[in-house]
Amino acid sequence: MREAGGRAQMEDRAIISVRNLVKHFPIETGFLRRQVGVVKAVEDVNFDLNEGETLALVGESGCGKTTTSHCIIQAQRPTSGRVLFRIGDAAPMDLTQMEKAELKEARRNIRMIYQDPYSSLNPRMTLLQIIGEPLVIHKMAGSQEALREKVAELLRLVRLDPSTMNRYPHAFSGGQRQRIAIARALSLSPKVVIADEAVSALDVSVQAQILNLLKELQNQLGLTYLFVAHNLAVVKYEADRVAVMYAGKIVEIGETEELYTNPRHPYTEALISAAPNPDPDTKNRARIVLAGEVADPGNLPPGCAFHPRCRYAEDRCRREIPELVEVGGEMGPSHRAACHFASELELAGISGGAEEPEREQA
Amino acid sequence: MLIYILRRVIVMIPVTILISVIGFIIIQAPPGDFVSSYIAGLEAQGDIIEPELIDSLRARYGLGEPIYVQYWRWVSNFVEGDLGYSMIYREPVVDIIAQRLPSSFTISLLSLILVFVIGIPIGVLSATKQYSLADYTFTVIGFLGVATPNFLLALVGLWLLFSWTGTVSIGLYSPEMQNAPFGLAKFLDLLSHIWLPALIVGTAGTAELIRTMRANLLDELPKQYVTVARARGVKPTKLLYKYPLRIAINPVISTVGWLLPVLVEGEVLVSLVLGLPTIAPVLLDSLLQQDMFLATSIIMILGILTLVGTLLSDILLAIVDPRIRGAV
Amino acid sequence: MTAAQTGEREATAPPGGDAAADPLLSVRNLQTHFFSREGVVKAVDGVSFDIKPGEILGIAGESGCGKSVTSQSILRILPRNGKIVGGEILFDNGESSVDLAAEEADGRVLRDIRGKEIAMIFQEPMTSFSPVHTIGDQIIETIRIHQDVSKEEAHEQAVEMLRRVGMPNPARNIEEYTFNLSGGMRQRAMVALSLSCRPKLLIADEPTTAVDVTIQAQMLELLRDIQADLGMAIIMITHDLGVIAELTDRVMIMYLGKEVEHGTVEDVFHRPQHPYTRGLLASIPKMEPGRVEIEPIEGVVPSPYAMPTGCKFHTRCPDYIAGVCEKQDPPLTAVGPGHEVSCYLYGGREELE
Repeated sequence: MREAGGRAQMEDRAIISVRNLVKHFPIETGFLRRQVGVVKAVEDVNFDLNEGETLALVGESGCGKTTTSHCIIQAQRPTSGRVLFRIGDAAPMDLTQMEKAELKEARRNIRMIYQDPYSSLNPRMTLLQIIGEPLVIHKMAGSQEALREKVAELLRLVRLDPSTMNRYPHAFSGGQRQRIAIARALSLSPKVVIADEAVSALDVSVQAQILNLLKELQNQLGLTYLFVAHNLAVVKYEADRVAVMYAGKIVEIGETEELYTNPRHPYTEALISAAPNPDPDTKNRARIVLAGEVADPGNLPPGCAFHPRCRYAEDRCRREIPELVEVGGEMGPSHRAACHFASELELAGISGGAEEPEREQA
Repeated sequence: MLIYILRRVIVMIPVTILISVIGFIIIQAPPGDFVSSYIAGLEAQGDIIEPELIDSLRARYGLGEPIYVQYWRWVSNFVEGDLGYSMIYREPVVDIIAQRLPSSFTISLLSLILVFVIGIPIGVLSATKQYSLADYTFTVIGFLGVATPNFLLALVGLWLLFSWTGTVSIGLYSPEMQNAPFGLAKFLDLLSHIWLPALIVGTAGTAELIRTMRANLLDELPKQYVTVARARGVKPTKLLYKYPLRIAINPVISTVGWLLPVLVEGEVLVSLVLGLPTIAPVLLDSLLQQDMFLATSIIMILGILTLVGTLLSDILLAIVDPRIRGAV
Repeated sequence: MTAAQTGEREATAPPGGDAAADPLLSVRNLQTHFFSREGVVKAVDGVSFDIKPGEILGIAGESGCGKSVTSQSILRILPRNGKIVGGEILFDNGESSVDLAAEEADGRVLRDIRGKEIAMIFQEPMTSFSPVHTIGDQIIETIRIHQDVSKEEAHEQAVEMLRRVGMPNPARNIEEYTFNLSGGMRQRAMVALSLSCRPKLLIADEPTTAVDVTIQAQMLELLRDIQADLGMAIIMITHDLGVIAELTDRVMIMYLGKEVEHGTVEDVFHRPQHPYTRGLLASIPKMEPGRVEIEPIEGVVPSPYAMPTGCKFHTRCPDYIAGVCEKQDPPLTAVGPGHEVSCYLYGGREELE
């Protein structure tokens, strides 16, 4: 196993540290496959995932949140940057520098759950085979009897009846299938679970079941979650900290309550404002309706990528790319934003904010 | 669009060269050069060959010179229309092809038209009336069509025709018309003979097309834009032909190009059974008897026709489908 | 349609609906079933509601509740194996009332109403347009099906409608194909297509489900603006109660083909009565400061082939009354003005023997 320098590179509480992560995809054209450009899917992303916490990556489609998660488990190899992973007191390893064979242990400890419980489960395998498969692959199953015992235990863990283990996924509803996917992800007793839009396809009543189940499992097993999602209300409920991504970059990161009530980036403010709230009293509230669409990561605007849609943009925003800097107080927990005017703007959060923003026409 | 066509034509050049190299290798494949085997063939029949003829033949094809010179000679001769000399027919290859290719072409073209005229409506019917009696019937007929060998169909066709009309239809013309000058009467005579081979040659293609059309249309019909059009008040007939049919037919257009060689291939046994003067039996003969100039020339011509056909169908596809037009 | 008629409608139909007006559409005891080899699915099983001119009605519920089938029944664009087996869909076409349920599905009457009187927008703007025709082609086609106008006039009307929905360059956009447009522009084009003949009723079936939140906000704003502008009634079908709360005047909540509760959004969201409505509202994470717990509804939605007897929700209901709820469908009971609930907690038990 390759070591990635000393402990100094990782925060004390971090289990995964992402450093200067970059993922570019070439744009090719013609039958000669000439490269004509590059899609900057992830551009210089930094964050720490602390042990036992839930960190959410939120943003709209194409913001790079899923690519980031894929680069962490090395399902996609990053263009540059480091992904440091540490188990217990062992020295951190840089996953980006490891060969496939060396990644086995890391992959055993970082598992993924995907959005679509219909396509992520092989319809021709029984629950026993689906959930037991990782155990067999990693040779942790022992006898067939031990495997059945382990699978039964996992099914109980996700509140499914162990007697169903010989049935096939089609016999289960969407929510139950997501439980099966969770059981499979937990079969190797991982430290970290990356949930990529894991509840997005579910009906609200079932979504609530899965959200609560994930929380219970976290408390019970001491799991760390990276929660990739686009639904801000769900993230608010599930995450301890939130990183908001736009056009391949983190534009704001901080503790959930703080970020929602006191956003420091205009994009976060707009996202919060746009999220529909199931309360008719807020029907006539002023909303920020962003004009235009998400920046094209293959053709980013100069300066701050958000400036064409930003109602506060000034000349500087069109020229200079803002750094992600600390905007929280010196005493409180870290709250960082990538906006030139983060400390000057009065932005509205979910409490209503300092003043009602004017309704902006698209 | 012009750039697209130009690019496609440029891509065709190396492919054509590749085909010619393969053709040349086929010519070179038999032991000895072809002049020796030609002479051997003649001598075996008791003919006496003038040494001057041998020399002139050897000089014309550059035999004895390095292999690339021979290839170049052959290619330049080919381009100039000198396709070599056929051993078995004792005629210049170009003459044989000139006699045979038109009838092959006529049968293939007619088959193609029949394939479309029969296949598309039935495919559409099968898709719109999915799981109906008609659908099941055509599905069964379709499978039979794909599974039945053409020569068997030809034999059955002959037999049926004989039991109904009492005559045996062999060839493309009635005996009295065989040598008549081409005119309306001869054309009508041709039509009365050609439909059977065209139908038989096209059977497999028709069956295939029915299945393709049915599947494509079944893919398109439940799509949302069809429902949306219906919700806008578009008439049921227009709902079928304006939108889904047009999209379902695109893959069919793209197959036109390579249908030609398939049809020629399909003609071989049918032509043998029905005694048709097409190119297919010649190809078979030439391959069996190692008449390499003849075989290679036919393969070359079919290859080039396929390339041109593919180009044409791609252009056609780009015209009807803006998505492809946008991408080119 | 002449400008005078349009103007009249706008004048008589203020946003929010006219309480005294006769309903534009009146659905009575609608039953739509699907027939397949596995059995019969009662996708919609006795649903009734009214919508008045200019009103925005929401129909909400989770997957399988029958909300989309209800909308497909109105326009009679059900899939082949779906059939209306009972009930009436009375549409006021200005002169008389037509029962859409009794008409031939693709007949003259329905075709004249579709796109002209009642229009529909769907979930995916990309697939709402034929990929091989320009958006203008399809908008102009709709206009010319329903109005006796020249190609040029139709073209002009189409450009005007594209401008109204906020397309940046209508004269050019009309020549474009959907694959050339961005997601937000496709949404707008789809709205323009459905509104091209200025329908009296717009049915929107999950129009914001597949889009990002900022695009969703644009879409909701567009619908609000265009409704204020053209004054049509809207039926908004969605699983997203946030969208319902933001847009609609009244809401009907459905569960397994049945109407469980309906009323004004304020009544239903602030004073939910049916245990399912309450459960649904409790299971949505809120965008409010502080820690707000969510409470899921226990259990799973029953299979459509094995529907529970009696109240369809009784298998998951926290207030289940043994010996009552599984016996018969609870009747709709008024719990306030215009607020009705189908639950034995609020009445109807006396009628059970």
